[in-house]
Amino acid sequence: MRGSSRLLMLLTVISAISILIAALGALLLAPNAAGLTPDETAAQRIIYFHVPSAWLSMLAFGITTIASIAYLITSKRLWDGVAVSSAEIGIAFTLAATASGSLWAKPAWNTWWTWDPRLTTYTIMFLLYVAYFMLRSALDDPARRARFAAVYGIFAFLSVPITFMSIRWWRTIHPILLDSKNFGLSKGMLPVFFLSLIAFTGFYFILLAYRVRVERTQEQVDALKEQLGY
Amino acid sequence: MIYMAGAYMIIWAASFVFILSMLRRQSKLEAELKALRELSHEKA
Repeated sequence: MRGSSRLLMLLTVISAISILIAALGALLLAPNAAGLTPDETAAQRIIYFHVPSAWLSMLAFGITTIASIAYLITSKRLWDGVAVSSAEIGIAFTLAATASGSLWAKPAWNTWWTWDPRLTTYTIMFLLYVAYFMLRSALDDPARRARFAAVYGIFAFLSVPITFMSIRWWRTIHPILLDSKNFGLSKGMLPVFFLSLIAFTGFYFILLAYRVRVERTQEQVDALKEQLGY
Repeated sequence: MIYMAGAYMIIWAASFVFILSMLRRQSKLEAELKALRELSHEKA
């Protein structure tokens, strides 16, 4: 096993352990939120994974944008690989955040879904990145596909700050966890919340490393196919 | 309680499916790469 593979394996184990500790903390250590019904109290613990999932989706699309800019500057295929890998992880976590949010909304809002500004802008963001993959699949030439996707990826990112700010700009029923004055969680909840956030961020970078490896292998396959005349 | 359990299961399931599909793609590509390398050696 090469040194880099061994390091990645070690980081994977550390990431898995930190996610497990965060899960145990969220379920057993974090205090109950005050003034809620029993159903709402249990559902409230979803935030320890829902918020980090939503954060990861936005971080992932941010990394896609940075990698897209890097590709346009350098024309190195590695950056295109990072961009598409990160967008794919972003899509997965967008779905996880949407589904977990919906399960929280049922006891809290008495509905699975409502066209609230945050939910609407989050859906638009999701669809914009689905279109990113549709654009990629429509182009055969790798260089052309990477260039077009990079430009589109940069524009699609505009939806991320709009989604983040939507609950501050428009009237909404979605909780605001962080505003200019304070943090919307009690002091007892903060350690587990930040532990979850850190554990999920680490998990994202591990997933990205594995996903980029898939892209690099695909690159080698494509190069050999071209060399052999396929 | 059922909502919380459902949400956690969804997040774990999404992560698990994503990791599994990635590992399958990687092993498929590695097998293809190996076959192409053998073909390349034969041609050489």
